[in-house]
Amino acid sequence: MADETVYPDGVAPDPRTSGPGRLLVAVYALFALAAGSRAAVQLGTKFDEAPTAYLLSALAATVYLVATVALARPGPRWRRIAVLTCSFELLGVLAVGTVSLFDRGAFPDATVWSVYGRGYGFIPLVLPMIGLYWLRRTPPPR
Amino acid sequence: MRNDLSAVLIGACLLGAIWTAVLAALDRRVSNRLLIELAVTEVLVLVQLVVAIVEVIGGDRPDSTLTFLAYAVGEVVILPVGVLWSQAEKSRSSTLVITIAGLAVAVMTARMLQMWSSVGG
Repeated sequence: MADETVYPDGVAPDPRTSGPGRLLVAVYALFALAAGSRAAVQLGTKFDEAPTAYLLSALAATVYLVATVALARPGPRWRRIAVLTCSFELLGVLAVGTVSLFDRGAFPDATVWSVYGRGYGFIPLVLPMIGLYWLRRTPPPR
Repeated sequence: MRNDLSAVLIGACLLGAIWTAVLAALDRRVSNRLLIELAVTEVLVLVQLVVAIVEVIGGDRPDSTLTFLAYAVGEVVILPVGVLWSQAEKSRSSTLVITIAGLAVAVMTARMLQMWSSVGG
């Protein structure tokens, strides 16, 4: 698979940010867009209804965005940021998912993390796991 | 919203998604014919956006008009950005970026149809 890859400049890039890593970036970008638009609509039109839930929505969107950039950029610093943001997302989807199961009133309007991301085909739950697995598989060069 | 237009758009998206998935499975690269199919799909996305705006201005509004329009606008960027991202590094897995972009536009269009069904006929 890798030997078929064509690099315009003839230099093999950081394995973390090439090949399947670019696919991961694409899915993260999609969720940054989805979560970001949703948060913007919620904050812009009905912030007073559930400020905490909507601010959490905005936080989730920001973390998706940072994770997208961190996964796309080579280098150990971006790698660390990618590990942090993917871990944060996994904790976020688990925490919000669990709370939304037991206390529906806490999250009256759907966020990407409600019921473990059911509204988005559970991808918000699976995505950080795949992200962390990918980061483990591509350790920083020594 | 025009249901037939959106149905054709969803079909075009799924065709592009299946096409790129097959190319990736065969370890082949994106062809010009595929790019033409994607360009046609993008034109359908733009037509759908115009139709959606015209109808909202005309007074036909789904319950969540802003979300509806956000989907219509968001769809416009997904295929072009996906193709650019996919072609910046030509590899087997980056071909699948277009598969994901196609599926995303198909799902978003289906959601728009769902939202539109709240409009009283």
